[in-house]
Amino acid sequence: MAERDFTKTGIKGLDAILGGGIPRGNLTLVEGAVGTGKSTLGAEFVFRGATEFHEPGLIVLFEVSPDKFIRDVARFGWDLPELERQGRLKMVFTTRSVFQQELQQADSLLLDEAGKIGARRIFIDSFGQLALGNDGSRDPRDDFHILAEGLHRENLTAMLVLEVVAQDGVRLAAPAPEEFIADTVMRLRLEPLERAVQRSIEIVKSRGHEYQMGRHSFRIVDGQGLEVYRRVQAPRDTTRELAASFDPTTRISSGIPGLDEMLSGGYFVGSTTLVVGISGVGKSVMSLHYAAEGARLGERGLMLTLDEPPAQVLRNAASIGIDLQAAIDRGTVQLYYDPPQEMEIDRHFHRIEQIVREFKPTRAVIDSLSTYGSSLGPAGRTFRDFFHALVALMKEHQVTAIYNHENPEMFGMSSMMGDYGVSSLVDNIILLNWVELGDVSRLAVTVTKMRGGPISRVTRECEVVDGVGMRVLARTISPNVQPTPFAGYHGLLARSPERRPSGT
Amino acid sequence: MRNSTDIKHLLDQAKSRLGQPCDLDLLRFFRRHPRALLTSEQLAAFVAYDVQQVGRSLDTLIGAGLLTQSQNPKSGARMYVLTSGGPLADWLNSLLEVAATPAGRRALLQALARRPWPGGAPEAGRKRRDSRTGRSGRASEEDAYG
Repeated sequence: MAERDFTKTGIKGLDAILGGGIPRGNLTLVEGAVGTGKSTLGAEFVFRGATEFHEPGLIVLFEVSPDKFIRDVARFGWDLPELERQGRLKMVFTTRSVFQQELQQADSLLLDEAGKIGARRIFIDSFGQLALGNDGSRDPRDDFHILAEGLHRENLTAMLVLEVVAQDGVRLAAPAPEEFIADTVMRLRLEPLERAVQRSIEIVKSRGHEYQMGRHSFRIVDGQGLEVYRRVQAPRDTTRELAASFDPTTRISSGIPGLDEMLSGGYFVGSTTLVVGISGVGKSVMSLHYAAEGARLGERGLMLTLDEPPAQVLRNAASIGIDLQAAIDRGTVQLYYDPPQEMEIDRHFHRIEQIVREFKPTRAVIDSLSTYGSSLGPAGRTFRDFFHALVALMKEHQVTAIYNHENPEMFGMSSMMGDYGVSSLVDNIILLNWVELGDVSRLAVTVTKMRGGPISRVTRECEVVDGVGMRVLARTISPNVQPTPFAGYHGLLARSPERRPSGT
Repeated sequence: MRNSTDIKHLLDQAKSRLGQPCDLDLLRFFRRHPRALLTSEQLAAFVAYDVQQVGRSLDTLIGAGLLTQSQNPKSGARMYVLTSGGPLADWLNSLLEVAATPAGRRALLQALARRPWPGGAPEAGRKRRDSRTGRSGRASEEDAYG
């Protein structure tokens, strides 16, 4: 086989996971339980081959009648009868025993049919485990070997469905003999996701090339076919990892009067900022200012919202004097809302990656990290891996990103991230706090971390004014100012503010 | 469903192409499986007729140009391909459209049974049905079509 002589499946997202495709001539076993999408995958493999890669194909069916198969895949827009008329496809209905005999014949009728259209691909649907047509005189494994040899003789890249009755536990303990003989094994699953299910595909083995291991999720989309999403935890290639860093020489404005001063001039380009505070403290307001400032300067901004639907975000923006809809209409802001219920994290990340590549934002707001935590569970690695991937993606594309995170504590904070433990991944941390002074709760902002530059860690008061938005107040220490500015206190974040003696 | 005049018209057009109910049921099978690689026994089991009757009907359909058959001499299986296109295409499509529904099939079978076709009485080769399950019994080895 020539180097990198791949048969591309043409299935969206799958070839990238396969490192370019399936090595030509490989016999691929597609295994999975009922309803996992095996037949659709095989049908698309042949359909894409015939329509996109000039590789005619043969579909061999044992159980489903061709008319039903044709009807079932028509929902994806695949017109198999038309391909048959064009001589790019043949569908043959047969039995396992006849199929097995045919592959042992040098002048097989079946392979003759394949030869007539110059078939390069074959999809066989389906075998039960060790259920090849066998009169009992041979080892079923030998039968499978004979089948593999027959297909190899014709230089067909084959995909063969293997029905698996049991789900993971039992099945994994006893690998099918077919798995040893096949060159490539793909395992499809329906994985429980709370009370929902999620489809996944795993390349268990594939001879002759590198591929992305692990379970990647996929969907079966009407009018299209399969769409495979690389698992978000999968390591990226080294060049992409090396590109993932912020620029410590260029700063961009937060859009909030007074905050840039606390940030020594603004956020570094490509940096990751966490804004932490209880619900209602002003995190989303801060994000809106950030996106609006970008729009004002002609910089593209992505607002990724899980907590609030677009209409609500637009209304919130309008309440502080920001016409976000106009920025969206101008193409400077893109609002991406993905409801957090039953979130499929691989698909979600795939969509973000797509937007970042195509829209090319320089600013991004993610509202909020805590909602990801609720969806994915903070304890497992999924959340951390997702966040790591998101941070790396933004840095790679030099997107200066702000992540809002809800902290449950009303006054002060004993822990910035609680159970989430990802603060080491971020460059900057801004705390928004309520401080109770007398009978009034006043809003405090503190920059507690900023990589690449000195910070004062001074706590300043800020306010959100209807129709105007957020601003950080001046740090005046004049004792004559009422109410007394924060500079007149100590212990603000320790939940026990005390007035400084006058003159200190 | 088409009316009896349509069915009569379809059958009149059929002329000598169809003679037995098995001919029609085979066509219905091949409509759903336009390219099938099967042994005679397997085919007979799929359409629920005995092998001998299936053999006669295959001869009829092949003779009428509705079906092609090829065989590997070393293998018992034959590749059957339903003819698509050609002068009979419209008639065949209309016929199978009517025959696709249970009522249409029954009407066509009754019409076939009433017609004086040469070559034996209709249903002669039909397997006996189990009165409880309605399923056909197995074809005997003596009936095997070679």
